[in-house]
Amino acid sequence: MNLTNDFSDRLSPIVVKELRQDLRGKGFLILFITLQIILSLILLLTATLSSSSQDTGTHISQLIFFCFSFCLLIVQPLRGCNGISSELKAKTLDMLQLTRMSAWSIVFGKWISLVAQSLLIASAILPYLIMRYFFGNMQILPELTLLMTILVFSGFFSAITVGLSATPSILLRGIIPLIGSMFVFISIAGAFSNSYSFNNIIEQLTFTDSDFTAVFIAIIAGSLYTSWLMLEIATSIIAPLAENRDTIKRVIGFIAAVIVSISLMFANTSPEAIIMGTMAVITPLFVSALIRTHQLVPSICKPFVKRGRIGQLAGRLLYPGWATGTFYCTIIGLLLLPVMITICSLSNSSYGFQPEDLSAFIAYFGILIFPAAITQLFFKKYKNLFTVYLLIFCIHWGFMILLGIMAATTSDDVLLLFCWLPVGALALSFDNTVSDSSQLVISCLVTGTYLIILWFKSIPAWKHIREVESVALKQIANSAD
Amino acid sequence: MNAISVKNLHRNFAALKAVDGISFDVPAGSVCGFVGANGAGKTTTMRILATLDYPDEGEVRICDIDIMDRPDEVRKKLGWMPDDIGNYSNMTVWEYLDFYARALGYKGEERQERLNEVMDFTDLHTLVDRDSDKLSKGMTQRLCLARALLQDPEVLIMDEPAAGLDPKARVELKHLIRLLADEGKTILISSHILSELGEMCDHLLFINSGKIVHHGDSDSLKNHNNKDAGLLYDVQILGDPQSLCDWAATSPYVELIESRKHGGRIKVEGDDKALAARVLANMLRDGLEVTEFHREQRNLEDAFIDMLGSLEEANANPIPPALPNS
Repeated sequence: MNLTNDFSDRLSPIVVKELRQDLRGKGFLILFITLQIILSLILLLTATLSSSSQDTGTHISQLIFFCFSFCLLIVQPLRGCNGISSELKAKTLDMLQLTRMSAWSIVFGKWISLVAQSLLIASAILPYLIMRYFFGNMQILPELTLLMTILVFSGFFSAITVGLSATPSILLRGIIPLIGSMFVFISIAGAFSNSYSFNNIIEQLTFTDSDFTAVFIAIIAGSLYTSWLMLEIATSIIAPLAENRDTIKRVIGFIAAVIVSISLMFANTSPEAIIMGTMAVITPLFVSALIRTHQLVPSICKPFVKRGRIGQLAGRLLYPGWATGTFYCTIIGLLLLPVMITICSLSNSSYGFQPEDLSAFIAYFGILIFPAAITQLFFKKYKNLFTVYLLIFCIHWGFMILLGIMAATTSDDVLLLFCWLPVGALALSFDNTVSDSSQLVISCLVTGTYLIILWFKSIPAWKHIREVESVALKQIANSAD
Repeated sequence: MNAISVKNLHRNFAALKAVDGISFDVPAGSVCGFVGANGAGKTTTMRILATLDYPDEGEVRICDIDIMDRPDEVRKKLGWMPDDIGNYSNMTVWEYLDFYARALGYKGEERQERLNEVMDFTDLHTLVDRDSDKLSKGMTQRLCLARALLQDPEVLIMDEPAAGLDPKARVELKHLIRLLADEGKTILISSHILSELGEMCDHLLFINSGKIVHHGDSDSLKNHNNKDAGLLYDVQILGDPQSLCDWAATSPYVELIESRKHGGRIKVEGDDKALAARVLANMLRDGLEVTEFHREQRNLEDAFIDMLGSLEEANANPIPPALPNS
């Protein structure tokens, strides 16, 4: 057998299939050919019309990067919206699941094929960048770094759309990516429409500013982490019950939160930045822990229960399902609070940990808990917990904007009126009219209430977990006999 | 040994009990027909057996492996042919099968050999370059069967494989299923065409409202409730067939089952042949010009409809609880 035949056997089957389909599909062909035509025209026109200008090279770079970003940051991710949903719609996902491919390899294959196509587009613009070199004024390394950064962000946005594409809700699959695309379009138009902002980006990408370098690395690491988490969420949605996707997600998420907190300790930063950085890491983690339907089978419990009491306790934290997710979030919240207070006091920051920071942290914790509590109270029968959670989450944040406007236009009392909502409590923690101790009490009461509701609603699930664990123990005993 | 074993299976969708405590076994190497009206719970049960859905309660074992505990192991032994094959655009028949062969872990020469085997079996060689989403229904079903057979499964679950097929394609499919049965594969097949199931299957499972109402071979079903079902006769007359309908409506012990071009199909109550003779005499007496009057064997469709009828009747008129002794 020759090397070329062997090569496709080394790839995931889903990547081979997706590339076969997509590279013949109208979507990719139109995108690819249009990009080539536009870039050729740009080079020809710019070369003939403004060859005398000193900034010609920069203008060409701006146009090339605008077109490239548009394709990679908007069009390619939007193609990911159909990733899993097209398989669900065509009823082909069932057949994929009956093969030897795991749910992860299906989702990851879908994503990697999109990334491969983006790479193909990126390689196709290289000749234009080489031609642009002859127009002068080119900084090769920063422009190549920009190209790579756009590729990474393309992968990140594609992971979000592929992740969302596993949800049955058209709201999540369609509207969120569309709104996101509008923001991305505004951002790339702002970045590449004038020479000043473009030159500024290129200058930053020389990495002479250490703060920018740290932020850049943090953003890239955060993008990779969130990409993985989004693909994991999609995997959890389509995986069979016996495939435990949550344990690894929760363990890695916790480690990531600790690493981020400790990394921020070494930066001369404020407690708010430490809290925000940590919360940014744990937010998608909490969401993924609280949206999982409670369904447990003995095969998942076996690796835990055979390790005795400690294994059983670990299982209660790491089994799939929102009930164990509640326990996990509570423990993470309780652990992170003293960790962050210690880090803030130890760090070389000139800031101290203020009481309002504590109130804000607790209120933000409540913001993550609140949609899960409402879902379990009123929308328990909905199979698609992810959609319900995110809708309540978005409405809740939308209400915070409304509260801010009301507080600014009428009176600050409006915040007290709505402090029973976690966003109200959060807004109140930034308000100077209420004492620090009152802010703290309100945040604790509000978050505690929703947490108690969630715990109360999870009681039947805990009973079920005990039953499944006892079945798992019996099965282990039987197999030992 | 049972290839499929189902115990007290339940599956609810909100208030709807799609599957309501069914239990049955399918011995290895047998062909089992799964019959029921639309919405009876066939597809839900089959999807659970295929590890594509989860039971709310109960136990299912395929080749003695629990589907909930070790779905991956079960999937290695299973071929699934759904009622609606999902197809891919921009993909030929060969690419379609090649993709699934890759997904099942076949590599290089081994994959090519396996593809040739299943394409030989399902006679797909002439279609290899055709777009997989532009095939006729019969060709699509053959493609779907080829895909299900790629991993040489021990158990094959087929949901309405004959739906929408023309008679020729149906005969071809029946032939393929018979060949698979001869190879010793266990086949669970659902269909609305009961006469074909009767010929193909070793035994039949009837499901209604999520419950198994009959499990046995086709003869046992034909004899089920036969006492009350009556005898069926094909009657042909000269003149307007409506006159037979009118006559049947006014005649005791006779029910018109089906109106036909030159007469109809009637059911005479009970199993007394003397009564049938009297019915014929009455027809002639009442002026019907009977050209043909012969008894028809009760087929599976009749038995099934009678069974459903008696179930509906039992549900409509439940037996009242016994009065307490005063």
